[in-house]
Amino acid sequence: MALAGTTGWAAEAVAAALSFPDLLRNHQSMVFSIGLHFLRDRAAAEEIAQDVFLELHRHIGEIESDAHAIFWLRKVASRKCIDAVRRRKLRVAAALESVPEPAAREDRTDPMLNRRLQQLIAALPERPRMMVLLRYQEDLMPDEIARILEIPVGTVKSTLQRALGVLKEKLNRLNGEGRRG
Amino acid sequence: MKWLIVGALIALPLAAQDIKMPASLERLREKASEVVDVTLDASMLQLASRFLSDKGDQAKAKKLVSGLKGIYVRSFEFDRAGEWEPADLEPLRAQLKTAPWTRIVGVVSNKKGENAEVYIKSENGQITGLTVIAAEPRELTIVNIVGFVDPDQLADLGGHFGIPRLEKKQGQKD
Amino acid sequence: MDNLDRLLLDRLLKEAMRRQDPPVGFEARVLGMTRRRTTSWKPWLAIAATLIIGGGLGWQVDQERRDRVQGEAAKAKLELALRITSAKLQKIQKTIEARNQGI
Repeated sequence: MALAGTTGWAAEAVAAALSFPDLLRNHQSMVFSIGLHFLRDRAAAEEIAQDVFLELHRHIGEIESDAHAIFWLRKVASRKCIDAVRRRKLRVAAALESVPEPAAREDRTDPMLNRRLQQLIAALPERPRMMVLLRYQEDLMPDEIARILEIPVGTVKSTLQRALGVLKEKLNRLNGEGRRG
Repeated sequence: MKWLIVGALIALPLAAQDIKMPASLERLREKASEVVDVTLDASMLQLASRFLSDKGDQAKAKKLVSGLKGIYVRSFEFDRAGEWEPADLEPLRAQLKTAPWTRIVGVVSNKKGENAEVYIKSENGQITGLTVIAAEPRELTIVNIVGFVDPDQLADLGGHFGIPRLEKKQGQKD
Repeated sequence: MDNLDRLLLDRLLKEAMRRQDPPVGFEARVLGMTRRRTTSWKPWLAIAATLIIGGGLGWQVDQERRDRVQGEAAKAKLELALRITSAKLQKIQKTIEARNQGI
């Protein structure tokens, strides 16, 4: 929507407004899924995703490229998720909103195993949980995760290693190893 | 009169749940490493049903759910065996030992320490409730379904929507 | 399943962390909110219109959004309950069948 006699800032706003819908369309699944896998609550995930994109809209003038937008979205989504949990003092391990895989999607693995794994991940403390999420949902390397979470890359590596060790141990136990009758 | 009212209120089950979850089980939350607690009363089931598709597996589930008044699930997972005791289940079993409840399945594996029971509630020739107790050393799950449960519909969901094929025959007791 | 090695764990985690689409209408709702936030080149008209019309429409859109969010959450709970019930019944049935066959 062009405005007659627009000044520089207005022209930028119009240009930015044209690309915001594209950013929303292209990256809504990413942002929603960060919230969903972190909080295991579809309603809360949608709310956070909505807040992230509204904030993107406010700061659209600062976005330089699609890659920049992706980085920005991951960073803001991660921060909002962690803040949400700390603010509400949610313990997702005992949450009542365990979310299964949607029935419409085709699962390539056992849905119960998926659910258990998601629950185990959700039981991790906030930072390791977000690191695992960014590593496996977004396929990011430790240095990228470090930039998003603004923590040293060494910390990311050691925290990830510990978290994966915990998940592996718990999964092994769930699958019957070391069970005592 | 006041004491009778208070007593009646204490005895009332939560919402439309037709069995009362005993305090001994609720206390297991503190010991459990993970808890799944699903409470769907009639209004929530109706709301959920609106978002089920009218086609395929979801249509069958929609039909099944249409006769229900509630679905209640409590599932506890523990880091080690011994966190729950058979006595924790006795108050629950006591409710299911009397009419109109009947136990139709009872399977015990002493070797694995596993125990599974299925109870149905019959009224006027119809099944109006189903309760499943599945007990393992590190996991305890109770499912209570309230309403008209049609075994044909439940069996018809077999192989779809994640529901197993459940035969209508009676199970053997151990 | 034997002890998980790292590759298997990686695969399982990637599967569990697969992206999922937001609820239907999410994109439209967000766009609607951003449009309502955009001020007109005649701000006083926009404010007046928002107060008169936007209040009602906004509430309706918000209410619809809330209903959908609650409905999807209820549906997810229902799916979870049915899956847990099915898993337990399936295990019981298999045990009975195995015993009937003398296993």
